[in-house]
Amino acid sequence: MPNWSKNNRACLTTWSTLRILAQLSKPFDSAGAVTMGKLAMFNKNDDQAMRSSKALMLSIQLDNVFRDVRGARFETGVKQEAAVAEMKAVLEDDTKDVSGLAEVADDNYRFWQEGEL
Amino acid sequence: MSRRRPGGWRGLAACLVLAGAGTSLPAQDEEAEAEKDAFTLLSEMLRKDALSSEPGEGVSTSAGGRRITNGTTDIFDLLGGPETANRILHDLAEGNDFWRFLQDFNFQLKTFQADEGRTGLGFAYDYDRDFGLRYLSDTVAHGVIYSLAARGSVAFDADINPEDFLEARASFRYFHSSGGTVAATEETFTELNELEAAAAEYTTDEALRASPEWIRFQEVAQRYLRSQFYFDVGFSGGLESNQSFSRKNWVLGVQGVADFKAWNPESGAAVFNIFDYPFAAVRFFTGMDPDFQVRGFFPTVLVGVDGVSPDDDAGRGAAGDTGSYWRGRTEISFKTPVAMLGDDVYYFTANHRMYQEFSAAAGVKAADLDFSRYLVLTLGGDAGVFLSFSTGKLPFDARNDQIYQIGWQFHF
Repeated sequence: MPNWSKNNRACLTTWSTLRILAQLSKPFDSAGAVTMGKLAMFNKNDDQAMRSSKALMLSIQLDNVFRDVRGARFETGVKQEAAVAEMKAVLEDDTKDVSGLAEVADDNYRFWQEGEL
Repeated sequence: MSRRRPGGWRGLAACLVLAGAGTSLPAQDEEAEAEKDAFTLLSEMLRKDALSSEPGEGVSTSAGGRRITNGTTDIFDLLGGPETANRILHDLAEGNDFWRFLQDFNFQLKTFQADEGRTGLGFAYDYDRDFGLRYLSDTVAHGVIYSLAARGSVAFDADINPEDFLEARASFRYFHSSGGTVAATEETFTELNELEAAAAEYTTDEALRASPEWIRFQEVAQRYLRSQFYFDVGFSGGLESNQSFSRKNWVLGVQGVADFKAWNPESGAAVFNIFDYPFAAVRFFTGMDPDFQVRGFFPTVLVGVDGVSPDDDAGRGAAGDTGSYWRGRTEISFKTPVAMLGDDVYYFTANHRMYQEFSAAAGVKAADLDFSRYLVLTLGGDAGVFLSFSTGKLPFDARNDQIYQIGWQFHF
């Protein structure tokens, strides 16, 4: 599992955003290991097209919350489409977990007051 | 070295497992092991207790709560516990160049249970790869995306596969998302950061939800959440088949997906989600929600029209029509929470698919090949008891099946 830490703003904000969007119910410590298939958005019986559309919708909303509600900006050289595409790829993969999603978020976003924890 | 190998899909599954295992050996052992076939290799690994190492040292295993520790376990004992094998595969694949090449390919061993008490083993695969996602605007979330995907379930005994329907498709879609949030202020950013850090200190969901920090965080953050409407439309084409490839369809068509989520629980839109009312009552009576509250997670809907060209379809041949035809399809997906036990949420999920051939020939109708419907309902959470019911058939299924499952799942 990639680094899951309270000292990492990307981890904290990914966790709280998924909670505020009612995608998971775990406290921070155990949230990192929650796999994507366990998020509230996804139904394991969906076909691929349905799953892909749901993942894209949620990744767009994560981008919305990160930037509009939490004050994040893209890292230098990162475009919105790339950030959304990378989060979508993680969300579609049942073998990935929340810590992996946070890692992608950390790579693409500079969160508000990041580094001040 | 010779060894009787299972044929067909079992051999393929074993080879996939062992190919991954074979490429994960330490370098100094590779030459010595090179002449051994992969099947023997994994068996020897198991017999050397390589898989009974302490957690964190590599591969960890458990099967039904017991550890695999001695040399009498071979791959078929392992395959008797698919979750164990899945964990081994996952650990072997980490950092493995062979699997990284197929980084979006997921392979999972699984059990199948049909009616009449018949059970068996098999595997499921899932490949999703986006080859391009392009936004068309800096201010509106819309753009295009093209993808390649393949998915299916394969039982070693084809007769018990309740989901005998393999798909591989390429698609090109236009997507559009509106709403979702409104912009907050820098003061809000700072306040939410502070509340979030404090909330992360709580170690149980119950304590977290009752904490003043999380209550305030929700109150502030939800002010900036709005309802989101998403849709995509596009072209898709590919191949459908049963697992033996004795029946195949080449498919080219158009499809659209629509979804609406009222992310703010105070949103008035949620009251229109009539599907969630029964479950809102359950959440209220089980204590999950302090008040009767309908969630704004509306079902997701897919509608498509395909031109279908059958290939090697003996069923349609017997019905007297092997020509191409037009087919409509729909899919509806719904998921909502119903109860909480500790930190675990239990969900009700439903997925309904329908395929209808347009203007089918009389023989096709008589053979009941022009229409298929498949419904799956489940009730369960991350761990603990789960209930599942599926009914109907997918294209290529010869008959309707009704499958009931009740079980217990572990989360390791």
